Amino acid sequence: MNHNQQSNDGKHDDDSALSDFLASLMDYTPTIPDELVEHYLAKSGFQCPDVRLIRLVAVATQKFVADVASDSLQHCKARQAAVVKDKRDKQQKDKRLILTMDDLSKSLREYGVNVKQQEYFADSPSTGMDPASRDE
Amino acid sequence: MSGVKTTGGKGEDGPSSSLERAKADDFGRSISKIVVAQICESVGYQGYKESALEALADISIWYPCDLAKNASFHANLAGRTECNVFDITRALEDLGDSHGFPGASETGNCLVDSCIVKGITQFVDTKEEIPFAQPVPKFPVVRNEKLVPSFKHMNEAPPGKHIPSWLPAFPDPHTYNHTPMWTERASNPCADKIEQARRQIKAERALLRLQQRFVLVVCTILPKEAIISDSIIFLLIGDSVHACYWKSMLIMRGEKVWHWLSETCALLSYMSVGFLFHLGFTVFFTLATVESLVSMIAIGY
Repeated sequence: MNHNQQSNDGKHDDDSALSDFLASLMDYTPTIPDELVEHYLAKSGFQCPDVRLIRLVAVATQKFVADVASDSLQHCKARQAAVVKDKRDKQQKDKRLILTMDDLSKSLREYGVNVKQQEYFADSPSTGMDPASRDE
Repeated sequence: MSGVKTTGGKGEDGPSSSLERAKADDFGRSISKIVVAQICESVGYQGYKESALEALADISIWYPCDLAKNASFHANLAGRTECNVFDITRALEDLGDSHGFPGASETGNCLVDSCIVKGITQFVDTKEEIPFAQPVPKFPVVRNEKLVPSFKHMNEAPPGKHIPSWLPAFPDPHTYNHTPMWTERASNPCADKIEQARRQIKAERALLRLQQRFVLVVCTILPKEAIISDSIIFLLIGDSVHACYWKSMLIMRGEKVWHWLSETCALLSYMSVGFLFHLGFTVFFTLATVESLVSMIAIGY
């Protein structure tokens, strides 16, 4: 009985936490505008008249993108720290943090998204080979 | 936040990108690009590469779409058409499985205390609010379509018992009935008449100019009597044009013109005949001129 009551109280707390969170969503303005989210949700067959759930989806997307961006920022900073260790002169030049495809693909791979780009493009199959072997 | 155009990516071709046609989702995609740029700036980035931003914008579109599909799937599974918070929580857990979240391995735990929702709650509490840069209108814009009125609307009886009256009405018979065509004539009679008159005028003008040349040559040496006699001859035969020419020649020379001669000339000019008549009397006129010259020599000028 006691255990049941405790679990019931726990559930009430969780319920209230969830409902409080959903209520707080109405005050919080996510970066992704509601109209954009509504458009893509309607395109995918999501039907819900409740604005709070649309805000929930917007906040979840924002969190995901922010996580990916912060992971790629870690990669970028790690790369810059490795370079700065060798050459102290270029410290001023590499101060800017730029979002690149390399960092992004590394961080997205952990989230299960495969974004791979070509390392380089070659003019013909024999580009870069030795001249002797190319003649053959 | 400033953008850096890539050399290997899509960013450098300015003129060719302006030739691309606008796609249906361009508006949503451009808003997503701004959103992602704002999020990256809040995370700490100072610049971005165009290709990387576009890839992240694609993901920011794909993620809520996938979430929505998953949530609606769970709702349909439960026998509902509208989604609720638990459908979304299940969808979030499905998407988060690849990355892992606390409580993923436990089965049968309540969705209310799902760790993913707790993570989102924490994100909302800690992260500061970054509203979107510009106001976004409601899209896509719905246009009221003009529908074809039904049989009932048009108060028509459908031609056939198998057609219900609430269906759109058939088009009017004049839109599909075959009617005889107006035969187009190759020639234009008005234009032909105008062309004929123009040619006639041209020929007459050329003839008159020729006559004037003759007259100018002759009138400087011919005596007045010869001119008057010739003009009388012309009057008698009815060639008003040549009579008028003689008259004008006399006027040019400054000689007194008989009143009755000028009057008759004016009257007969209204009764002038055709081109061939004039041609015939050009010959006669030439002959008359020759005769006058002969007479002049004979008289002894």
